[in-house]
Amino acid sequence: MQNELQILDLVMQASWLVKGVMLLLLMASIASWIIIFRKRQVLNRAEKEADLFEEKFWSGTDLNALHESITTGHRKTDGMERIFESGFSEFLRMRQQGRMGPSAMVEGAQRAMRIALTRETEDLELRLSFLATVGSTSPYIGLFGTVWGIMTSFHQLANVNQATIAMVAPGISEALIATAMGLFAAIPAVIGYNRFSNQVERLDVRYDNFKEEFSSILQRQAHLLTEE
Amino acid sequence: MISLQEFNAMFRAVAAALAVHVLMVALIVIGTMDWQPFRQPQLTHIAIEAVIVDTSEIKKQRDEARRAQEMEDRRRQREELLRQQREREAEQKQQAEEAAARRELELEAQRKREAQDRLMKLRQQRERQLEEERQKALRELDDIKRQREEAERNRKQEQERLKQIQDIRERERQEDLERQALEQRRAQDFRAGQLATEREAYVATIASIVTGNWLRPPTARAGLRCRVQVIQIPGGEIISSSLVGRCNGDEATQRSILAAVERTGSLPYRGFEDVFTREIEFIFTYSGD
Repeated sequence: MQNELQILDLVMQASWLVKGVMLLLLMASIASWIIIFRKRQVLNRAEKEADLFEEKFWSGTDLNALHESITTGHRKTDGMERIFESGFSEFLRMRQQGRMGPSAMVEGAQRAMRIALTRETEDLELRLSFLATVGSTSPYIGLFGTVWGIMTSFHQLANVNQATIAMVAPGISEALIATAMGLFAAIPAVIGYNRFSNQVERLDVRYDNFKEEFSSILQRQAHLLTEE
Repeated sequence: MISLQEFNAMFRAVAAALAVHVLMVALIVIGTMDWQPFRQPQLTHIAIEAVIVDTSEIKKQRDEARRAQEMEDRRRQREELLRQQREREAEQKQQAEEAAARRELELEAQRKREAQDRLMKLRQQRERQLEEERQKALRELDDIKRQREEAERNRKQEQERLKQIQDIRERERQEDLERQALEQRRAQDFRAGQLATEREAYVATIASIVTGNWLRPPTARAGLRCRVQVIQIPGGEIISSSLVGRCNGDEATQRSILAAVERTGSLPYRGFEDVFTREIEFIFTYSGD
């Protein structure tokens, strides 16, 4: 029974600074794990929705009908739908105003879509930088805690005539826990950051492609309209 | 404002993160379960215990001990003497027994020796007989050997004679062969000589023809000696001509010699087929009229 609580005892015995470092690391770890789970969910959903929307878009339905179904939907639009919606709304508005060349119409739609795309990317990248920060700094924070712990445990030796390894060992052991915690926090954060930034980039490219394709379709439509 | 769905998702993420950490802590605790608990190093206090004692008591005790020791020593000496006496008696008895045993042994040994002597004599007799038999056998063996050697010698003589005869025959054949080879060589030499003379004649003919065609320039002096090389084709037609080696004529003479060769046109061929060569060298000489 007593052995089981050994490591917790060590943590409790540590100096207040080391305790603070450990607490900081624990919080960073928890936060990064929350972000990891959250991001995973969000990105996976975004990919799935992009799949669905592209399928719908390229199935040859009327663009007006598609726009209707999206805007009248009860939920907030995001991802590819949002890009489509903002671009198409802008296009319709320009057309209603009239007296505009096809190139001006397409340009307006493109601008709107670009803005939407930037917002979308921003949303996707939200809090990814926190993962990067945790991944790169928490080993150093842990190391700092360790160094501090070792410093104090050596300092305590100063007043003792007969120093034995047994007197320093617990202190060092307890200090090393801080490094372990730092690594525990850093490794998942780094893995998560790499994975998610890669995923975001892929989504970004996909959105961009969609934007270009859609603007070419709009251009064709604009020419048809002006010819009429 | 956060929607209910958002809140739900967030809550789930937080729960998952906490679960991960609880799992990690559990893993660490389980992983470090076999650690030994730390003991604070303890400084032990070493105490010196002292007791006051009375010396006269000790002295008395020591005297008593010494006396007891002395009595013990004396008793031990006595016992030692007794033991030695007993040992001596035992030794004498043992010696007497040993002497008796030795006599017995000697008698036994003598009996044995006599028996051995008898045995030895018998054995020697038998050995002598065996030796004689062996000698006889050896003599017979020698006889046989001598006979065989004689036969061998005869055979060898015979072989030698045969070999001599063969040698003689061989020598005769060799001589025959040599004679034949000599004759052949002589014939060849003769043929070669013939050819050489024919060649000489050929070259001389060419030289005379060329000389006949020569128009002597005024600068040519007697004692002219030039080596001329002519290349011809079968049939005797000259293809080219040149002077090789040293030529003691002047420029005009050399030209006149080559002109003479050119004028000749074709060299004699019929009758000289055997000695014909593509390259012919001859020496053009002029020794004055």
